[in-house]
Amino acid sequence: MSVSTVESVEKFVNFIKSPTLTVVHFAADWADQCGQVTEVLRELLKIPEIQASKTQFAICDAENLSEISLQYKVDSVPTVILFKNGEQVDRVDGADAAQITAKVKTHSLGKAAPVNAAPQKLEDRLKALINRHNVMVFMKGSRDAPRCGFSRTLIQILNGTGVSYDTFDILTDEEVRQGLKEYSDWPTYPQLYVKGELIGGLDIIKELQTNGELDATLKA
Amino acid sequence: MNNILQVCFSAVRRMSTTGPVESTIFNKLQSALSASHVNVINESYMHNVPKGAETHFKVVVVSDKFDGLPLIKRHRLVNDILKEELQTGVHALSIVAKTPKQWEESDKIVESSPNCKGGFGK
Repeated sequence: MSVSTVESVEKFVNFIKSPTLTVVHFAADWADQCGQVTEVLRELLKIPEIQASKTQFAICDAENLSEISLQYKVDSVPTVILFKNGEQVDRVDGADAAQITAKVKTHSLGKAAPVNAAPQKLEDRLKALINRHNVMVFMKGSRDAPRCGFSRTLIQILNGTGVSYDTFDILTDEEVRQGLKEYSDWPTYPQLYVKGELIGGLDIIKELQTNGELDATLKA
Repeated sequence: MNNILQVCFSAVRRMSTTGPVESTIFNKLQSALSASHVNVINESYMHNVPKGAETHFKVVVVSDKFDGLPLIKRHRLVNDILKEELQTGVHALSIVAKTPKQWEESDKIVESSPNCKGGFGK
């Protein structure tokens, strides 16, 4: 499965007819923020529960298919609209990754969610995540496409050390994003953990690097 | 169609005046840490936020209360003092926390933070 493109009004009408959730991203080539939203949709597609719910994602060029944009009052890009049975069930105007993630999850898992799957406790989930790798980075975006200058600089420093590490994109998971701030009592991202222990954000990593202590910290 | 589509993006120019949040941050840090030097830099103009916004800050704090504390504890101390601000609109806080001795020995040049590139919030 991937994020498809709807090229005509007819295809759009067929696409949104589905009884399972369909998510349409109204985008324009010239707007950078649309690329970010597409990235968020791709991440959502990787979630097994969302795959199981048969949720489909598509991109619609808001200018080429202006007829549709006008009908759904899309007056800025990016806009994401959620449909079921051809009816709009929800929408997010603007590149609000957290809202998009939350709404897609709510609507896709509404009925299809397995009844007996006990939700993992958030604290256990966070513990498992920060211990997923010896060196774990919680950041905005991925290591190949950081979505924030602070995260990008941190990745550059880490790549320079040659140490292996894993990353988690907090923009794709609002629960982790808010939960980890409280769990670790640290208000901002990126956050770097070594063996499950918070080392700090970019300022601290930079200072460790300047003092020549970074390698030893990462290889602890 | 072109003219009704827009991306929420506004250019920002640096404000020369000191905003209310900036003053609060300065006062809180100075009194809570008996700081010998405090510098609060509003870096919001580097980001995709409205003119005059107070969302992105860098603080330089020199205090002997940092003596013997590892970096993470110094940062936690500063974060804690500014907890309210961080919960109510301050989106990025870059911290330089040094003891008076370290400050004297340093070049006292503070480089600016990277742009954060997005409107995604903290």
